[in-house]
Amino acid sequence: MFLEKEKLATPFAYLIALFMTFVIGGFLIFTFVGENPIAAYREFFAQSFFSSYGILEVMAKATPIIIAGSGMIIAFRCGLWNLGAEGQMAIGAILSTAIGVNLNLPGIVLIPLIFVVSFVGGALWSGVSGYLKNKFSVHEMLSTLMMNYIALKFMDYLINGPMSMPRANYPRTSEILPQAQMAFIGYPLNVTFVIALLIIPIVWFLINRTTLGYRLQAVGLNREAARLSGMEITKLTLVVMLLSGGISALGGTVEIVGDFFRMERNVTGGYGFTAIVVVMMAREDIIALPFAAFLVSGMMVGATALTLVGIPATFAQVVVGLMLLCVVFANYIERKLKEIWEV
Amino acid sequence: MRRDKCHSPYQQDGEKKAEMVEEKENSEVILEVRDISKRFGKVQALDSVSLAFRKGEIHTLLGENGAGKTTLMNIIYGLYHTDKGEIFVRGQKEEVKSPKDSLRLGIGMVPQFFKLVPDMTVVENVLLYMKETQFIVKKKQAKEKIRQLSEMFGFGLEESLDVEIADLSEGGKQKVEILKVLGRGSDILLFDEATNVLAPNELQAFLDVIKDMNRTGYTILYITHRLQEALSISDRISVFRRGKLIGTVSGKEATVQTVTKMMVGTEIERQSAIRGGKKKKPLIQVEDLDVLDDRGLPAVRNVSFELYEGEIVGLAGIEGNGSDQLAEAIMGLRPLQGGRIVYREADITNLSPLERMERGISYIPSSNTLIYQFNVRDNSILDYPGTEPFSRKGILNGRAITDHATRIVETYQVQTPSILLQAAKLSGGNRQRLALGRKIEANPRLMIAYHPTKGLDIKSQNFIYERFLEMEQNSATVLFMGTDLDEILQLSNRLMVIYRGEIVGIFEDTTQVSKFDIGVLMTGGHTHSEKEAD
Repeated sequence: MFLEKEKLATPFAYLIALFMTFVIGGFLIFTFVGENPIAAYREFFAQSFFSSYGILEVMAKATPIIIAGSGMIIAFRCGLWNLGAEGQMAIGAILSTAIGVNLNLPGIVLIPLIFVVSFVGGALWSGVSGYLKNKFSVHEMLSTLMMNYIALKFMDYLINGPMSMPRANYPRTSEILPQAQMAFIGYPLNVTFVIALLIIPIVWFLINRTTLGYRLQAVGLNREAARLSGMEITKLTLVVMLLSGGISALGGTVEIVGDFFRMERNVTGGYGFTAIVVVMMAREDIIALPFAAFLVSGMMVGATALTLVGIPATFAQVVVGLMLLCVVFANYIERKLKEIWEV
Repeated sequence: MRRDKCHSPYQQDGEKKAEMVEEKENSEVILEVRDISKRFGKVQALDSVSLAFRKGEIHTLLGENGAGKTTLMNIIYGLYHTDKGEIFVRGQKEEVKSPKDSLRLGIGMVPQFFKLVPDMTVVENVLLYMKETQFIVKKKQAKEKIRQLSEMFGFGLEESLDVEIADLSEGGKQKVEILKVLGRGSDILLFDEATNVLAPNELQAFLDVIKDMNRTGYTILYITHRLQEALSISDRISVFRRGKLIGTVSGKEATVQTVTKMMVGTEIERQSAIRGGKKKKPLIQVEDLDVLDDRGLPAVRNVSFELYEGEIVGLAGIEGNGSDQLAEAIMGLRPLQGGRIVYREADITNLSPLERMERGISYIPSSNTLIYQFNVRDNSILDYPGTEPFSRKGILNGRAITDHATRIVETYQVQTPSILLQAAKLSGGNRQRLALGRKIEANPRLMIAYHPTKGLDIKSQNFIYERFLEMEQNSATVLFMGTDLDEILQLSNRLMVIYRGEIVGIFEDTTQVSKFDIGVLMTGGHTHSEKEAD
């Protein structure tokens, strides 16, 4: 009885937090924009969770977030702050495009090849941070964050230069070959969504059922105890950074083979950064990750709908920021709920 | 106790004490708890405990780990909230919701683990805690007050007020903790296992300070698991067992036997260490070892010794003198700056910790033996998650791990409702049983243990001693490191003393050494009996 109640605390806390968000957001909409908040929210939900197109878009937007977040969780659980998902996605996107445009192989070979090469590229990219940490004690939080900008600017350079489409109206590459373009389940939702969903049990298994997962959790929870029991922390650090970056890079790959079909500016869409918030909301739990991702992508989709009732797009972004802040506040509410219920 | 002839740090000034007890028996109640209960999950940590503390007494709370004494202290100090019960301070019913309340009521706690800022001076640390300290700090005034307090109780810190905490000895740090509480104006002082960190020669000085403070009118609540200590300083002793108050006895009348009986229910015969000499076959040779600590300073200097099969060797040394770095070096957890290690006639200097573990070397550190967030089951393989049968091709074998954990829980008497219980929820003794079980199940030939009984009650301590004696019987070797001389002498056949990273004495027969002499060696002194060492 008690246990069940305790489990309810989490969803309950999120409901309270969301309700709070909408009250505060509504107040802001009313005072700053002068629109009717009820109407705004009706539109918000109608366009996101309560329309077939909306729900497909929510899932589509959640796809790269789930993949990048899955990679990130592996590192976070080992106590490694890999904040480089955005850059790793960019590397994934670059390699996917390079192969997808140039290698005219049958789809059955080409698509797996794109995924494998993206994985390896992203792994090596974030492996640099692991190496720097082991060799020179450079904090991975800094190095991964900095390498985001290197990767993003490098991508910009490629779009504008070497990989640019001939006679392009704006900076972008050519479209990838048709056999590399993955099918839509129903526009805008692509088959890549299924890949994202498949990654979840794989990562779950890796963390909970393998020796590597056991070790990485041990190091993440108590580094000293792990060291004293003979675990080779530097080796583990490198392996985890490789895996984490490899998976996150696939977030960029799905943007190319399942959405844009070419590389252009902002193809990574900031999803690598959004994934940080999502992973924190999910409390580094891989099972909670897709739910947190749906929530956040739902807000992003809903916010665009606010423009339909005359709320400026920029202000909609303010509301989304506020919502994320309130959702993070749910941790506090949950703790309080548990305290109250225990008495 | 085997060694009654040697100097005891617990000499009592008998008559004087008797006189004072008389006087205190009539004094008023300053602090009272009524019907206090506290649960942690399924564990009843305190069960309707009522106890009155008299003004100006030294009242010791004794009990095994998990008996509830620390819980009671934390409730009085406001760190825990009671489920039930009331607290009266100076006759007034009070709500103690946090240390803020208890400090207001004149209750101060000297914690078991120091909470000092290492790179601030003594004065600054005490200042942080004083109620006079507002936004603007009147350092000069405060310094004078601190100096007076230090002088009053003979702390000897008057000259070191501007010294940084990091440069003080453990005993010095503890005095600063006491100064913090005194500076705050508290007159009811709680001491939680305060002597754990002290060297034998600092112990007497500390107990004198306690007595001095007590004479000046401070009321002292004292937690310890060292019986001798409790008997020597207490006016009254309250014994706890499984969350219940078993009884309160006068410190004057209590004896080791009566109190032990109250604590554990039955009297326990302590093990005798005298064992027959055996034909000795070398197991490990350590030659000219040089090791650095985490700051890159020499921690172990030029250490050489040899251990034989089937013996327990004590390594006496105060914390910070290189014992743990030496242990880590032998285990392969810390790189060598020089020297080599030969184990079973093979040079293992360059082997990894895992390779050494496979060859039968095991190390129990003084802390961090478990991952508290992991459950009992997962903790049971912490040293060997990658070996058969627990892991096959990198995938964990759940059934083998469960069987293994169940066996450890049964064999080593880990009291837990389930192997899926989080290790954090185990009591100290059960945590150590789990860790020890995990290590012994790997069937080591050399067990290095650094203070494995730290903070444990007699029952758990004896359990650990028995396991080590069993290992010795099976011709395995135990290198037992620690500070508690009674324990080391009781258990080991041979004894080494480490001071500032150097072995300053090796004694071939522990029945022939004086505890006092070893205490002196441990703290850098010289004795005539040093000549016994080879």
